Amino acid sequence: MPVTAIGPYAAQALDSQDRFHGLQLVYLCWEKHLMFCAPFTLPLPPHMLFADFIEQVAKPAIAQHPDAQWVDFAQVQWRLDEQPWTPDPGASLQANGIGHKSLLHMATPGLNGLAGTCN
Amino acid sequence: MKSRVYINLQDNDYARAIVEAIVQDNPGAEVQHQPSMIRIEAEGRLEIRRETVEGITASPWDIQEMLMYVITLGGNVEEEDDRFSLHWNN
Amino acid sequence: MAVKKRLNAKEKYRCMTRDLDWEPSYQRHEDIYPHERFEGIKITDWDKWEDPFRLTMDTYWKYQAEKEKKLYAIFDAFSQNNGHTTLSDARYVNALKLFLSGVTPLEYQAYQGFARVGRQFSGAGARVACQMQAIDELRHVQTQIHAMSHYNKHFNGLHDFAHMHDRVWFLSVPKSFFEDARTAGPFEFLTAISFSFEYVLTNLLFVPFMSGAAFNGDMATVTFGFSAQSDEARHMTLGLEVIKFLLEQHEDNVPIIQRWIDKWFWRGYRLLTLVGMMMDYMLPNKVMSWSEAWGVYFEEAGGALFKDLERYGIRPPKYVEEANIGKEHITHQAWSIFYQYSQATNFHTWMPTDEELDWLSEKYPDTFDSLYRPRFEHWRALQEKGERFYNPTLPMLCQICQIPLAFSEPDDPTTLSHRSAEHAGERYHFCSDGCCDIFQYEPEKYIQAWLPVHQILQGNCGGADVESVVRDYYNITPGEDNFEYLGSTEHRRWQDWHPNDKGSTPASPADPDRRQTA
Repeated sequence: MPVTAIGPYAAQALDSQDRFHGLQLVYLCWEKHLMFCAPFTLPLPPHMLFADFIEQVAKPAIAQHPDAQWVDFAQVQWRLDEQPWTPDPGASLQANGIGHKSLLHMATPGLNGLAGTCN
Repeated sequence: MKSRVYINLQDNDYARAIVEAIVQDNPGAEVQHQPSMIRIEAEGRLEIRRETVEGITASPWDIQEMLMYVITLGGNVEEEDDRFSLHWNN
Repeated sequence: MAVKKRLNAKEKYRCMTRDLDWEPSYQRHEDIYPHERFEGIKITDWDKWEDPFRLTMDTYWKYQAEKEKKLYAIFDAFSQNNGHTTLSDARYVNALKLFLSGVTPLEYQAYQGFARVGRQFSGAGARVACQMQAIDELRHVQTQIHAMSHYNKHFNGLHDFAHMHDRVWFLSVPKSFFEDARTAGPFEFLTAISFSFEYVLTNLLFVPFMSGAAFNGDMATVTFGFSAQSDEARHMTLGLEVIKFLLEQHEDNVPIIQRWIDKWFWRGYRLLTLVGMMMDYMLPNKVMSWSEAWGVYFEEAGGALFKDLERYGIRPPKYVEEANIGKEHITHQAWSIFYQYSQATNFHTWMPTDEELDWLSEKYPDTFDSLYRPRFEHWRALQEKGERFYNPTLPMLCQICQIPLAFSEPDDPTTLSHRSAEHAGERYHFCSDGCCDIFQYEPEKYIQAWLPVHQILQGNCGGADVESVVRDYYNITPGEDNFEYLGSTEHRRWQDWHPNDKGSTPASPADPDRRQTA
């Protein structure tokens, strides 16, 4: 049952990609760095290169964390929508399979937050 | 062990006679004084009797008046003309 | 002739409520009460409805009028004596800002909800109880606004609470909770609000918070709180009677009620995160920790309740174990959200003082020092260097509770909890199994959620940058109503009122960068 209603019921999703003026949403979570309280919501052009995403979006987003300066993005272990995944830096977000409202997890083994407390 | 019922009353002059009556009628009741309120707990059942309250204050008392000073309660409620009780069935 | 002088309470109640009801003869029952059937609840005999409080309308008005007289006398005394100047500390008022914009509008929604379901039930006992509760809720809205109007003369952020409730990102958490209940059928509404919220969880909202107000010198709030609670005892009892009545009416009702209890326990628990945060972080003089309050008012009191309901085939709510684990974590996680997004709130945030940090360590011995203290000490060190931390990005929100995905996995406090589901080709994200389950059962309802972050990014909240959304769409004045407490106009004003009081808040440099991230 999609909804308990008194009669016929038609609903429209409020966050479909066409409502974001050519952009798509991507969520980014840096694991073991809970000083950032939640994953970020990032509105991005689907044709943005993954390399540009790293330089122009991901790096500034995490810059305030003391660990940020030590992150080697070539070594980051990624998950895309909870599946292990290896990005192609020269390809676009779309070509990398990152869809609207996809969630990226980045793990940085060896970097475990403020004094290793996962913060 | 039976579950505990409870009632919290505002800590004021009005409540004092009720608390005294509860202690008289419910030997197992435990009275706790907390910031600005009085909490009374008992195992299984708690009763407030009109007669006892009236005996303490020496004036007529309508049980429904008490609801003005109740902050919270836990248990099944039974309200009669001459008593108010809380109980769990387990 | 024997004339009986007075009716006793039972007889009077029967005459003045149920005896005023009648059976319709020229309209069909289902046309008059069109909402009574579609949820699948089966009522065979409304006369089995028990009214524990045999309160008739005339008695109701008499006592409510007396409550109001007492209450307003105290409001007058409080304001005539400049009660706001003798609070424990001005930081306390930030809890009131959260209360006025987050909770008071819910009282209004409760009024709307009970007025509607009172109309929709064909049982006279249920209708009268809902009618009284609707009027109670309206009274609560009014008394809260009156109590806060005094604070509004002297503090920031209280000026437009109803407007903010409809728009501000974190206020969509309480707003959507109640709208979810009000857009359900009448029986789900009662299970949600009367039982799951009023009976099972509301003590956690009012009792510790009101004691907290008493402990922090806020006589006005204590008084409206206790005045409201005197109605609440009646509401709680209605909640319990509703559940017992529905369960006794038909065995087919049991699984439906169980699912609603599961859903609304979880929704209420998530909502109360805000209250827990208020208790642990926003009361300068603490009464009890969230963890302690959860122990007394949920684990103990709820334990007795669910034991009592066992014989109807009802078990404790699903995911109750996760809530019991969460009590050690959620308030610290919530304060972290508000601290780093304080550029977009209608209240100030701050880092706990040394004493407060020690209190938290003592109350949360298994979690605070290892997981949360390092984060707070880091932020405090940044603040002392004049680099107060604000998060310039927007957070990812749960599709159901609409809280940022800031809660940790029940079995791993160093990993953020995340669940997702697909519906009609679209991805949806959740903070927990509890929220995910709610979505999966009625996806068509929740794909319409108005998620504030997504709405900002769609351009539906005015400007493209956070500062203009906050200023123009929320009507929050940047630099006055929001950001860090230390060095705020409110902090300075408090110091002007108390020139000799150096102990209440630690001296610290003002916050030169506080507008930078907006």
